[in-house]
Amino acid sequence: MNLFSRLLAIAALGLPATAHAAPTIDWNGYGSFLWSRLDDLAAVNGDTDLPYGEFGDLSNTSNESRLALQGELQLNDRLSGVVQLVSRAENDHNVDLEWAYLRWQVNADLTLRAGKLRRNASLHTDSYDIGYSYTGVRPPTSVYFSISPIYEGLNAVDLYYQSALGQYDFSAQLYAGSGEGNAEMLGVRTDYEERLAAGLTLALERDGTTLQFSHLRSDLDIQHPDLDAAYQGLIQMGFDDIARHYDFSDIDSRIFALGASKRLDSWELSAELAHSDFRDTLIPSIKGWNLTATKHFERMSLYAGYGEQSSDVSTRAADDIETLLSGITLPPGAPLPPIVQQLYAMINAVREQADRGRINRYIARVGGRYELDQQTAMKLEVEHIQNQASGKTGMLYSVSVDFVF
Amino acid sequence: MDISKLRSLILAAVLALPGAPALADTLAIIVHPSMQNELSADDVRRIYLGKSSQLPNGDAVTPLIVRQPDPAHTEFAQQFLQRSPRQLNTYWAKRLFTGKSRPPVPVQSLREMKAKVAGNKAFIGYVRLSDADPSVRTVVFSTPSS
Repeated sequence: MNLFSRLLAIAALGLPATAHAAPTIDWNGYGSFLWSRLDDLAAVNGDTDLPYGEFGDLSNTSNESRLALQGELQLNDRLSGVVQLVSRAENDHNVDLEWAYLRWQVNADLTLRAGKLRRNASLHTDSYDIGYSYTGVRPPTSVYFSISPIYEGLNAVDLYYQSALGQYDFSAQLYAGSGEGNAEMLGVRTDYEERLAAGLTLALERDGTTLQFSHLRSDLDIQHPDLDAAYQGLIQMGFDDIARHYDFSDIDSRIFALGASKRLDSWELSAELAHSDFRDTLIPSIKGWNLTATKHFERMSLYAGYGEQSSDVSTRAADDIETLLSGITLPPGAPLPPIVQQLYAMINAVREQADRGRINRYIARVGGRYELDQQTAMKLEVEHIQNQASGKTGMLYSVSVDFVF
Repeated sequence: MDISKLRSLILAAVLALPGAPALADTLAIIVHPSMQNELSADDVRRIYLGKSSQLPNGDAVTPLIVRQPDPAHTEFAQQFLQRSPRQLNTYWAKRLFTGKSRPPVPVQSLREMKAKVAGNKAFIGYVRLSDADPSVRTVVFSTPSS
C-alpha cells in the first residue's frame, strides 16, 4: 500500500459525524499540445553540458504535450483527497501519478497537505504544466530552464497560510519532505535522492501587484558513475581532502527565487529571477532572470520579454590539487611519478568539466495568445537565443494549444 | 417589521427616483438574511479569489458565479475582482490544479444564484439591484474596488 493509500485509510477511519453521507468526487483536467523547433542546436548549446531546456544533442525538436486528470474526493467539510494523473509525450504517454495528497482545511487561514506534491519556487514553478494558467507558450525559459530539474515532485508535508495583512493579501507556504528521481547532470542521466528537502515561499499581493520570494534547499545524494570512480580513487590514494569534492553523497543544494508582477489596466509587467546552486561541487550553479511586458486585448494578448541565463562551476577541486602538488618537490629532470601524473590529469579534467558547465545565453522572446473559447487558448512564440561565448544565435519556434476542463 | 424588509422598502424607494434605472442595473452582493455582519468589498474580493473561506461572522462560505458568457459575469469580474473573465479563468486554473483553492461554483443565471443564496447561508452571490428582494440580504458598494 503506497503512502497515499495509507493516508486515505487513516482519514476514512477518522471521519467525524459531520461527514457527507456520500463523498463526492470532482473531476477536472488540463492539457497542452506543444511543439517546438530550435533551428540551430549547436549555436545555442555550444560545447556546454547544459542543453537549452529539452533540447539536448539528439534533437532540435520537442513535443512537450501533456494531459492531466485531477480527481478530488471530498471526505468531509474540511478533508479531501486529491490525485492528479499526468500523461506526457516525452514519457511515451505513460500515465504517472504526479500529485497525490490529503488536504485538511485546519481553519479559515491554514491548509495542511501531505503526500506527493510539487514545489513552488518562482511565479509559475508549481503551475508550469498548466499552460492555460499563463500567457506565454512556457514561462520565461531564461528563468525556468535555470531551475534545476531535480526540483519537481516530492513526498512532503506542506503548510499553506493565507491572510489579510493590513491592506495586503499575504501567504506563506512551508514544506518539508524527501524524494528521488532521475535527471541529467554533467552530461549523464543520473539517479538522485533527496534526503531532506525544505522550502519557504512568501507572497504579498495588492491592487494587481504580486511579490513572491522563495528559498528551497535539499540534501542530495547523486550517483554519478564517473565522479564516484574519481572519489574512490582519491580515497585509495589517501587524498581525502580532495576526494570530498567528488563526494556526491551529501550535497547542499539551494534555490533562491524572486518574482514580481503588476497589472495596470490592460498591461501586465513581470520580473523574475532564479538561482540554483549546488554548493562547492562540479554541478553548475545556474542563474536566470527575465522581464516581460504583456498587452491584453479582449481575446488576445501580445507579449515581449528579455532575459539572461548564465552558469558557473566551482573549480575548488582543481585548486586544491594544485595546492597539494605545489608542496611536492621532485629531483630536477626526474619523470613525474604516476600518481602525480594522475593528479595533473584530474586538474585538467576538472577545468574541462568546468568549461563545459559554463554558459551565458541572452534570450529575447515575442509571442501571442488567442482565446479560442472560455477554456482553450492558442499560442505562438518565437525566441531569439544568443550564446554569448560564441556569439552564435538560434531561434526557437513554439506553438501550443492549452485547455482546461 | 424586520430589518431585511425595511432594507427592501428603502431600496425600492431609491429605485423609484429619477435616474434610478441606471442604478437598478448595478450589481449588488447578496448573502443569506441571517448574515448581519458588516461585509466589505475586500471581504468579497478575498472570498471570490479563494483567499478566504469564511464570512465576517466566521461561517464557512462558498462563492457562486454565473456561467460565462453572461454579461453579469464580466461586470462582476471587472468591478469586484479587477480582472477580466479571461484573467479570472487563468487565475482559478492555477489555484485549482496547484491545490490552493477551488473556483466559485457556477450557476446558470442570476435568478438561480439568488435562490441558492436565499436557501443556504453558506453561499454568497450577486444580483441586479432591481431583482433584490427580502429573501436575501443585499450589500451595495459605492466603489467595489479596494
